[in-house]
Amino acid sequence: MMKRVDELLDSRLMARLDTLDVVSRKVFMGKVQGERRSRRRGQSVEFADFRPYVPGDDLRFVDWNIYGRLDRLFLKLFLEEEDLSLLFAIDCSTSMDAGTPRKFDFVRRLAMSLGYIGLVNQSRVGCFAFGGDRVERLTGLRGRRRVRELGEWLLSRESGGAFDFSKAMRTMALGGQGRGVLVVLSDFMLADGADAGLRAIAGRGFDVFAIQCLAPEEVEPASVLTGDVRLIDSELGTPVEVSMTSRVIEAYAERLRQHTEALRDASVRRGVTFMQVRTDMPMDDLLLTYLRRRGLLK
Amino acid sequence: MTWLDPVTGLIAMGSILPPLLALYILKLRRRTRTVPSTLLWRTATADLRANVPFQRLRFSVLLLLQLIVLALLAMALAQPESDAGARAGRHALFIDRSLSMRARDVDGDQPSRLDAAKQAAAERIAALHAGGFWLGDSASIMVVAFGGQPAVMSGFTDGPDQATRAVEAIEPVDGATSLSEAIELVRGALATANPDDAGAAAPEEVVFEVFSDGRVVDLAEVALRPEERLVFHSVGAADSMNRSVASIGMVRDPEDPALVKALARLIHWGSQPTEAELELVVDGLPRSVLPAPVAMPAAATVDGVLRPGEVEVSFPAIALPEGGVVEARFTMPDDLPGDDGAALVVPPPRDLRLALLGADDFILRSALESLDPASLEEFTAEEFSQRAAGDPAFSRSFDAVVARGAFPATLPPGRYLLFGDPTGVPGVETFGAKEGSVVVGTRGDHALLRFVAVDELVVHSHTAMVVTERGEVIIEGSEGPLAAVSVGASRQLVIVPFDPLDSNWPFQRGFLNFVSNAVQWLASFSRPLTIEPREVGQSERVEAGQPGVSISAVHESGTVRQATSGADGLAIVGPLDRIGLWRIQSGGTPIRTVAVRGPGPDESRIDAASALPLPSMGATIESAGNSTGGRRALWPWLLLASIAMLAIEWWWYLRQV
Repeated sequence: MMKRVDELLDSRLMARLDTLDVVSRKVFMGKVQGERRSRRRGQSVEFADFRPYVPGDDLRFVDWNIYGRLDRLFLKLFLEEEDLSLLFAIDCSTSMDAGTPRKFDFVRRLAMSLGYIGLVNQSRVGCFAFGGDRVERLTGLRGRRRVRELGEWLLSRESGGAFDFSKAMRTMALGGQGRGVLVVLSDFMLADGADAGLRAIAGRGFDVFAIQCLAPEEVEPASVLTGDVRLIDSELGTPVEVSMTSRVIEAYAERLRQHTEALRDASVRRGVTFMQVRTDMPMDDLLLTYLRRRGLLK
Repeated sequence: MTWLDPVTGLIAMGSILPPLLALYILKLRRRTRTVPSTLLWRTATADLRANVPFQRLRFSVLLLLQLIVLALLAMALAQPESDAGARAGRHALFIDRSLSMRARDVDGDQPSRLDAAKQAAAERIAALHAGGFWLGDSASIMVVAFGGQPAVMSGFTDGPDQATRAVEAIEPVDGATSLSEAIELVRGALATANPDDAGAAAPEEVVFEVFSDGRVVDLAEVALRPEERLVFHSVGAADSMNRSVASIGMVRDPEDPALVKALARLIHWGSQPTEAELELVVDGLPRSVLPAPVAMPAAATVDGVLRPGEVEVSFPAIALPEGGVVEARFTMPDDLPGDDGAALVVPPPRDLRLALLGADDFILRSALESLDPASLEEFTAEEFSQRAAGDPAFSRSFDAVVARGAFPATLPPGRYLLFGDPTGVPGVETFGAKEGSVVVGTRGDHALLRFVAVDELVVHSHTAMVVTERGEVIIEGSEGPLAAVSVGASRQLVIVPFDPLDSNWPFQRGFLNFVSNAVQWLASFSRPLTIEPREVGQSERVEAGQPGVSISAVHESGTVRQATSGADGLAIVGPLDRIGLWRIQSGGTPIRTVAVRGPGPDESRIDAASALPLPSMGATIESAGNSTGGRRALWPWLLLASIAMLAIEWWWYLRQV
């Protein structure tokens, strides 16, 4: 059980993350001026285009040099620099309370690390925790000084209940958090599939990254499950009796592969980047190598 | 098939089946583990079950295989045994006790085929009376021994002990194997068993079960009725080899009657030629051995019939001044020792005792004196008749009685050479006189005509005759028989129906030879060179002299036959049903020794047949094979099958997981 913020993100890793930034494949319109280009023309120093002057335009942006040569009024347009909205949807269901390392700890550490990167780069960071019927949120964080606040909020979250992915995505879509990068952290063990949830979030201007976090024993169950066992679903409580034979293990592996492929296909169809990571993966490698390679960080 | 212990099998089945089914109904006790999600497990595993303590019994190959294994084990515990044929009904067991059944070619601890056949019959009786859980009816069994004279050892009985004892009481005989008479015995027993059913529309079925080596000589006479069925239980090996001394004969030296030479005929039933060493035993002691082994040819098929290889051998002459029991036998026994020897009883030589009827018969007296008889007594016909009437043994005390013209009115028992009209001679019918007869034919090979030339014989007159009692014409004249012999039970006659003086015969050398031959031939009936061996199974007639005398015949194997003389002082002892020598004795006092010869070469063939051909029915009865043992335990096969099923189940289980 983690109790300190530095357990979520130690200073050594923090120092290495300072050089990273979250990448969005889309250009968003932020709420305040930030450090990213916006499609909205604004008041930055970076020139974007010209357009004819119409009455009511700010005369300060009239290009008088062109007026002198062409005797016509043109207005100079500049790119607006806006901040990036970085949102996390964290699965806090009971199923995340399993695994070695614990999946819930892993996603909190990952959210902490990505949130730190966002805060350092003046992005607007927000976190949503879904577990059972509850939705807990922490929004409006910006700047390095909010890092601790983010860490403490993550530490105070607890796992419990089921994870309704479709409901969570609808909440995110209608939450008015503005456009931005949405990172969904879950194990995606969804009985009804992820299609409905992805459909709800698609088209809302989010650049969605779905990261499936699986414990090692979920990928390789033979390491912990042997013989005749009665498996209890941690969320639903439903039992399943299984005789751990090689044939059953193979069938499980095949079913997991099919499940992952279905998630990946659904994500691709909705323009979502899907990734699967194991919780025993070192955070350094995950952030500095894997996520950079997959385009979430740069 | 019967079940020796069906209750145990049922108990085992009943006690194991419910737990087995329960194991399939009740779910396994499993360790509980909490996992993040059972989503993938639910679809990935095949043995997921609903969350209830019981489940519907589903079809499972494993369950099916286990049920089969359980059933096989339960059946094995019930100890099923297969039966040889039908159980209930009437069964007549025919046990062959003939000579060939003494062969020692059977496996196991049985000393002979007969013992093996008796054991098989006893097991068959046990099987027929096995009872059992499902089949409670027992058979009615009759036991008949055949071989030589068939004998009913036990009538139809429901008691297995009685039938078994009857089988055990069967002793070997050395007769031929004759089945038809034995079957007739059984049919007779069936007809008298229940006379009320004699006219029934459907006679009761009867099964003839024959325990034999299959060498039955009268199979052609065996015909089964519709209600009869024959089961053949073959006994013995098909490749057994046997050779036998078929017969033995003796020849006495004419110059020295004390010297005799033995002749033996050997047969061999093997498919390959062989050799055998032969020895001559006199009174139990080896007396002579052939200098080299006798080469015996193999049996060969002639006209579709297998014939044994035969060879005749002669031993060097030996001196038997006191007579004795002479036996030719092989030095090395084969599979059937019973026919490895043949014996003869040789009486001591005896001088001629002759009688001449008719005074001053110079021609015949001269002829008889030339034979150098021990005695030559002359009588008139009347004197001879009177003496014979006073002493029944008088006429038989002469080796030959020679008469010319004048014959006794009633010819007493004895041996006679008669010249002249034979009218009134018993066994001869006459038809008047004939004249001018010449020889038209002879039995040249007859002993009486040895060195006798009758081509120039001319008979002026003779009596036409016909010999009616076991007669044979040896010289046929143009007008009727000129010489004949009659061999009756009490009289042996040589009849010449003319007076030699009415022919030119006395002037020919052949006449003396004829008289000599006739005397010697007649004498052979009173003092044979050998005592003719008895046929196996015959009885011996013994003159005890007075009634109430106990006579016994003791075979060399120890078999004893006893009889007591009747009012006439005669005792019939027998049957002498074993080959070899029998000592006839009265109260321990030896009377004589009798040799009994075998039934013939066919009985020496001992290669066991696998089937009984019935030519009259155009059918062949195959041997019942191993089922001669009656019941055969099946539990080892069931156990083997259950192990195989377990292996299959294990393979199926591994294939599933």
